[in-house]
Amino acid sequence: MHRDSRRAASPPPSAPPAAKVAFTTVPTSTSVPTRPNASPLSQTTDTPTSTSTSTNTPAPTPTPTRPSAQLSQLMDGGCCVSPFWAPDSQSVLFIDKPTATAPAGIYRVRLERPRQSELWTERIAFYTRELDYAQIPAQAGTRLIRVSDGQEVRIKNGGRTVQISPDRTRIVWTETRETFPIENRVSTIMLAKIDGSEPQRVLQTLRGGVSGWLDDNRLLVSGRASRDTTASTLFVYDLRDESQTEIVRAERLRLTAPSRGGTWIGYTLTSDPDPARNGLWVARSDGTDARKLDFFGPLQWRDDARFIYVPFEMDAPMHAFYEYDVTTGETRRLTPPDQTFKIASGDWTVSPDGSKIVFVNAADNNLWLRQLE
Amino acid sequence: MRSVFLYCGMLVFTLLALVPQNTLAGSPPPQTETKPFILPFDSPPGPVTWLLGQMYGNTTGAYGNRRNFYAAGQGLHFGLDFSAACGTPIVAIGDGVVIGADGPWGSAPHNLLINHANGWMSMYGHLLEKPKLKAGERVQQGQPVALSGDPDATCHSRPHLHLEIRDAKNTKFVNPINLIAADWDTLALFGQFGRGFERDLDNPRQWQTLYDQPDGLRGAPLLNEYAKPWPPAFDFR
Repeated sequence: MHRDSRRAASPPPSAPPAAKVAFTTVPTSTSVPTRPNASPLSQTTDTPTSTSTSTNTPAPTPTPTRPSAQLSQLMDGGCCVSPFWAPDSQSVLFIDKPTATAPAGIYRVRLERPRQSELWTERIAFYTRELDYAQIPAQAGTRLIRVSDGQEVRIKNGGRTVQISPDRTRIVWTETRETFPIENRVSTIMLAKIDGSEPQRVLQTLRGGVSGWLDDNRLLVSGRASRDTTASTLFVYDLRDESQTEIVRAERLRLTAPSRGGTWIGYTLTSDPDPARNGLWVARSDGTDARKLDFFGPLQWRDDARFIYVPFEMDAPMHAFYEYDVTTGETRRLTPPDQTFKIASGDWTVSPDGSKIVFVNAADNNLWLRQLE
Repeated sequence: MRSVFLYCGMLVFTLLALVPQNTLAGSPPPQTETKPFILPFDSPPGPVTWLLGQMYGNTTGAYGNRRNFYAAGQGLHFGLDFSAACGTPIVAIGDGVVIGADGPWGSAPHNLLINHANGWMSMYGHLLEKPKLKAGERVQQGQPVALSGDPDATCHSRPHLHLEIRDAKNTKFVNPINLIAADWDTLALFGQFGRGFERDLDNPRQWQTLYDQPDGLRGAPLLNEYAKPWPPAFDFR
């Protein structure tokens, strides 16, 4: 059971120490400046242009929203899985083709106009949180497109998705040949300038890869250090000095989620030989202050210090959102007990400003909005 | 075939418009509906025991391997994966009679096939060892029948149980979620590796929920050889 307003951290049964780990670093001669201006993306192609080709789709007949001041239906028709937020947290986007004659594309519903979606762009792609870059994997090379002016480059990486540094100067991706046995797959982490130039290997792991950027210079990486160990290591790799800081080493890492400023990392351990280690953990990205939490569930960060989670409680009549503050250790419930909903397919996402959650409601497969205070 | 799907999609869309709000079709079966089977574990889910892995159906993972691993099931992930440490006890999902162990039913290194009296068979794959049950032996729902293992037989590669429900003729695979009584919405909070279900951009609403996934017919043509897939998948071998 969950109790509100309590300290949730329990003493870590075997808190991993901050330690250096030894993964294979590929020598590089990189001297990429830390915060240069964004590169010009000079290789222009026929990029889709406007992202404002708005075409109003037929608006469904309005129906009363369920009686809740803070929980409201955002879309109907069961159309919209895998939603993502616009940077201003005022609209939600999703892939759709609302009618047989409408184009497939990314559609947008504004929070102030629920159930009325409009075409945002026909360019279906993976977008950055800021919607400033789009990428479309292709065998000839992933197309990386700057949304503001449509300039596009091809990253010669066989169609793998890339991760863009916060300062928009560099990209990383993981190259893994899908050979067997899986546990011996070698993963090579590649780094390049954002225009794809100067690609270089920076690191190799076994069956791992880069999870993302913590800031402009540090990467969150996981993988096995060698074939002599069955454990995977989650560690922070600093591109400036090639240092590696271990966060945790475990048999089964299931979820890794860095906070929005890169200060903290949430992760889950499962099926560990030491049962006391299994569960949800947080640690600072400098490898200190690792702690196992006395609740379990999927989490998403609200900012650099607070995350929202859904308690994993089988057969509970409803789901609930809770917040945990890593700096104070306080947990509090965000949804009232009388607010009945369940999330479908684990499909929920927190807005960029941390003030809202959109989720697919299992009752009707529609998008619903939960406003937070 | 694609036009049939499009037609069906349009028909469903039309029907949806006729259904009262908040009771839409495509939503989970009513909780009062009786499902004949139980989960294949006698322990509750969690980080110590087991969690949901890959879903049944048109998953992105299956789409990426539709021409090899999943070609026999029309490009679908024609079972349900449960992440579990090697040696986790597995129970029969229903009363039945053992057809055999380590038969030609896939999911190496060891498997078990049970015939149920209700027209369905259950297949438990990637087992740790050959089950000790004999063909013709009766089992009861909830009875331990096997131990979970690892398809790579190492127990630290990707240990999981692969569970299939097939028709009695062994020609059709169906979505276990619609036949097993469980709180799937909560299980799915920690399920679904990868990016969910593959999209056909000519009909992107099709087959996008846990419950709404197609049956798979053994040896029939791929269901997801899309002209406009999302996300695209490539051969990284």
